[in-house]
Amino acid sequence: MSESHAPRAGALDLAAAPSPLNRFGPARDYFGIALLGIGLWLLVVETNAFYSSVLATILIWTIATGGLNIIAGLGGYPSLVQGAFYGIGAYGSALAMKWGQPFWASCFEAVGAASLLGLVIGLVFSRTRGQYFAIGTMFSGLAVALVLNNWRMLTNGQLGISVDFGFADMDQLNIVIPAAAALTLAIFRFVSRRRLGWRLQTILEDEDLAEHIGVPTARTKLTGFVLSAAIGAVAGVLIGQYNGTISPDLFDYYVGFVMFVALSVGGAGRVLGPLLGSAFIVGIPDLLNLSSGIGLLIAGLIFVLVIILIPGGFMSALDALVRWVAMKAARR
Amino acid sequence: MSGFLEVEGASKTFGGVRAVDAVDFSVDEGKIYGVIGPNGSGKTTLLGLLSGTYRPDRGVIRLNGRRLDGLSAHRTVQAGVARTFQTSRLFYRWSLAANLTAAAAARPIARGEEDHSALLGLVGLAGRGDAECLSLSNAERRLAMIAVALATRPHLLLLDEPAVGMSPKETAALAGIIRRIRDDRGVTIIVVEHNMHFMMGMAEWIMAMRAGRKLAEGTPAEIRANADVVAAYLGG
Repeated sequence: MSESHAPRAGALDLAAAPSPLNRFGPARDYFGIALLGIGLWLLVVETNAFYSSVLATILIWTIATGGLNIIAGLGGYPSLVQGAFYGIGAYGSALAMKWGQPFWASCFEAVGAASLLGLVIGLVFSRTRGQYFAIGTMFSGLAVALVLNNWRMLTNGQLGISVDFGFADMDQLNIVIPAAAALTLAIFRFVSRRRLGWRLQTILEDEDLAEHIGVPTARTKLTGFVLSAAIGAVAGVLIGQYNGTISPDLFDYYVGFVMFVALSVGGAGRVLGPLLGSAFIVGIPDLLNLSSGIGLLIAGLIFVLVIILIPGGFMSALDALVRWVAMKAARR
Repeated sequence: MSGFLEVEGASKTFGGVRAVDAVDFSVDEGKIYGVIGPNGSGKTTLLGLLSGTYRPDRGVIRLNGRRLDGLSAHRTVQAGVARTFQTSRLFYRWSLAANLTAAAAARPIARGEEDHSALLGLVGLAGRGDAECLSLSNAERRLAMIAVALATRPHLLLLDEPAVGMSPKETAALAGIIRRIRDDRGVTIIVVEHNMHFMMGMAEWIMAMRAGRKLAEGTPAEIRANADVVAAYLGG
């Protein structure tokens, strides 16, 4: 979709009651995201190996859920297949390198493969809505997980495969991961104020009305879904690089669901939602050194509590806090 | 026929029920055209065929010579046809101005800065742009929906029972607003309504429907005097 026809779409901000955190213009937003990226990079580099690896995993999840934020956060489509795109990115890049491709080419191929799969899944399931879309995408994710587990010739089954390292050294990767996470947040911020973003938001509000004010809803959803898939694959490439080996359990069928949970807990449709959500969903089990089953249980519990107590996720709680502080300050 | 809007043999069946059955009519540019009929007579389905909400099973719809039948709803909007709904539909969590901005910018063709204040004034909602749509009253929502439809810059505006839930006073004001929209913007308007009184004072040409078919067509006075129409309304 070319932006050149869009009438002053760059300035569109449709939210009725904009968050108090969002009052700054685009330049400051991007500057803030860049600062955040630098801060995260310093944290990754300066903390001990354990915290550094937890943070890197959180940031890789931020990329995956940041991609999901486009179709699920802006468009309101509960995609549960993001884990599969994550897996396609990891396996696609690893296998392409095994077949003799240079690392950079393997990245493009992995992202391309995930986008293509996104296009197919999107063409089938963007005709469905709500729980039907959730179920359809969940089973698509299950299908990919089954392939990763059982096509042993290609994936070596549950034993997993090693991943060739594509960077000069770990320091370089430690820069790339926070940079990619910040870039993902910036891309989301950009898309959300452009034509694609507000078209998705009209779909979130009322899809039939969107169609009747001239929004090409089918094409918009497909574009958003493929963009989400492509960004998910980037996260997959990076987890492969960071871990050095990949196995199907990293990309099991429920991972897409956990990513959706992370996004909802952090704040769907919000720039920083993916970072906050990933920090909780990935960080808490890792930092408390819980086994993955218990970790999932806690993730589920947090999800239920947040959905009941703060439906907009942590970001909306933060909004409320900022409003409250501003009100107190104004009274003084 | 060489009207602005030409409909030939439009038909739509829902599960064996002929909701619209071979309806022919044409509308001249700049007219206010009324469609009346008892509940279930196919008025809203006919409007849905014109707006791309439904695709006709048979029949041809032309706007300025261009085929509309078979186009999806968003392409129909892009072709210059906008509609409102029987139940008020807006992007409720947004301000009215945001609704108008979205509608104005949804079409791919670039246009100049949209002046919402003129549009809001036209529909009698001057100064209400910043209001969240949830806070609007029923009558305001009906008018806001018309403003959103107008923001897409249609040549043909389809109003589906715009007076639903309005008091007699609000209904009278609405008739004036609809006439003003036609006069100011040169928009051709089709109004579906079963409030005969409202229609008689506003429409210049009326089609009466019954059981999916065209029953009669004519000036308001002719329709009021038509024995078939009176019988359809009185259940005779």
